[in-house]
Amino acid sequence: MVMYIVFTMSTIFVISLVGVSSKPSPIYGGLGLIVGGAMGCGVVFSFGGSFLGLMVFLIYLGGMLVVFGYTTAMATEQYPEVWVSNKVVFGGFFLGLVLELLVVMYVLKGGKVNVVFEFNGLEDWVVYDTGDSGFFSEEAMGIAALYSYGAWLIVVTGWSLFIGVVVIMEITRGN
Amino acid sequence: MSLVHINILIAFAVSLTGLLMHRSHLMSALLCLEGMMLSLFILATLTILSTHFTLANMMPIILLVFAACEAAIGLALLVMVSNTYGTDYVQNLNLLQC
Repeated sequence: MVMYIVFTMSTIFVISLVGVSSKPSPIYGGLGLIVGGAMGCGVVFSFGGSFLGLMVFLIYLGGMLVVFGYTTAMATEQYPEVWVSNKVVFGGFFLGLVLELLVVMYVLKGGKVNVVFEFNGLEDWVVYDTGDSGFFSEEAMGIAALYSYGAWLIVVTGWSLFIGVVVIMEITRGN
Repeated sequence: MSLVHINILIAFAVSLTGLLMHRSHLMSALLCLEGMMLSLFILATLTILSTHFTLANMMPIILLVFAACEAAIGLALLVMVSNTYGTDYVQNLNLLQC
């Protein structure tokens, strides 16, 4: 079963996103996104992307979801709806759960799925090797290229972040 | 393609469905949008790491930057709606209703 640990983590990722998308009260949706972010980070780690996985934790969970949590605390209701307290929410969550269990059973019975591409189970733990990558992590070198080949990308994203701040100040000006 | 890609594609489809079907809160739609961005990030990272496309490793970071911009502007709009109507219920946004 440990051989399928990555597939299990991606299944928990899907179930937590089903929990977000069945729309309980937003604070529980944020909780579902936290669990989903942690599982997604684990999946990325197991494919060898340590920097990008830690970026999910730091930027996504630690930056964006904290802001979402504060905004939700500002605009929340007195009795928040959890997944089991409302029939509609529980029905949506149960439907997503059943869908995911069907997919998992189909995958585990067959071993490979032929929908549009061929999804086979070998690539979970055997990665295609394109030769010698030296002593450097390819992923770290690719991200470091953001400052050499991707200099124009840095300029564009920095400028759009600045314009985003100006837009937000304009929206929240009021009167 | 690995089996994990199936689950990440299903996660994206589930979040998209959740975004398109409103319940009461506007905040839930923004959270479903964040779920879509997260699943896109994971999908892009897994594909780029599997195919050893080294230079494209910067793409998920850029995606995350623009997703952060979009989330911030969405939250600012939600705060203004909440200031006007008191809550962020979707049924309050009915100015164009005939």
